[in-house]
Amino acid sequence: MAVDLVKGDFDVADDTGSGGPAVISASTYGYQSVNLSDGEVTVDEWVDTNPNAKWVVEIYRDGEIIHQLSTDSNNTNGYKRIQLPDNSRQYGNGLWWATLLKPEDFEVGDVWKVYGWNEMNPVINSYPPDRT
Amino acid sequence: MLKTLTLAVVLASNSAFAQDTDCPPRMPKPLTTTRVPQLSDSGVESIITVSEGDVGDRKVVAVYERPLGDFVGPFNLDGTVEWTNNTAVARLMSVRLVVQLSDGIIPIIPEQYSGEVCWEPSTKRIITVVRQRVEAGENIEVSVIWDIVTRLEGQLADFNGDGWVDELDQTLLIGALGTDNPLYDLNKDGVVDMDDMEILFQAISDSWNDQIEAANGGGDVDPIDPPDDPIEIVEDFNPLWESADHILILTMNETPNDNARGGHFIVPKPEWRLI
Repeated sequence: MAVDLVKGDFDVADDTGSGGPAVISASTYGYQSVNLSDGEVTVDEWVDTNPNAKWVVEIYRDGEIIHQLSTDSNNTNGYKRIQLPDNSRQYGNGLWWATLLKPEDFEVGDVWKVYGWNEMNPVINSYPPDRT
Repeated sequence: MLKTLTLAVVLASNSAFAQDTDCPPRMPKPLTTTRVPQLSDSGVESIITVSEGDVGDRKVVAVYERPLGDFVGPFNLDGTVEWTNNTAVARLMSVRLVVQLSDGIIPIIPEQYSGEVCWEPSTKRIITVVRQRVEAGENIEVSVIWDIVTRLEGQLADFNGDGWVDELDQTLLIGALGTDNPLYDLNKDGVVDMDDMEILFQAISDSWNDQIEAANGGGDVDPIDPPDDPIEIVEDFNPLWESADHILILTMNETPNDNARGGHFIVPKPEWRLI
């Protein structure tokens, strides 16, 4: 897995889950996650200081976007939502979301792109983007 | 005694788009439910659900098959409900069946299913309630069949589900002209006609593009528009989201470990390469 840190404080790292190290986790129970590591601030501190965040996750295959999901901090409690880094024992500091792609459908070359905003003030187009 | 009733027939002459209506709430007696994915060479194609409830002298067994809820197109439920009433009095028995759809997918439920099939947007569930009077000592099997269609939310004219309303969808609609197929009956008047075509024309997808400022520090903007959609450069990020404070791009060089973690597919840190 290649990781491009294009922007921001977060790296990726093994999580603290009970089943062994994992950076990406794709559960058959309906969620997937990317585990975030501490940057200049810990993930916990970041969550505390950024309670109103926005996130977009995209999956590309052969240059074409095949799945996408977006949410903000108002939508973090429901099933099929992106969850903020939660520092739970099972999933570590995972940023996790509802299944975008079934685990058995993963392919070499798939590209996952994760975008985060520290606050909800910036105007972010809804996803999929309006075509008007 | 065995009876067979059909809850509803295939396709409606008058359809209704999904409405945010109150669906029947959960019923007091729980069912024991088992869902079994049906596999083919291309993966999971459908799910068979078996739900059983038994309180001694009354029993219900529902068995039904339905597709996965993650695609756009025809979507049907086909099964049976078997009722048993071994008490001394007639009873009105009912069962509530639940089908989950994926995010971004909504059902188009024909009017004929009103009161029996309901869409619950908050949970993304299609709720089916089957009611049956069961006489004392009677055993009845009732068929449960409904056929609806699903669409991408907000793009009802995107018949082929490719994310665009375009000439491909127009071709599909032309092929359905004169029918009552609710998949193409956009104005819900019971017939696919030029009025529906006009609605499609009004929904034809526009498109737009964006480009990233030159990266050499000069602040110039590349005067040449990218020839294609910018997302074709997979190493790049989506320009729509360039205002993000955090951007991670993860390229999978090998498939995840299968079930290495009790139901999880994982890619551990050592298989990642940090650029």
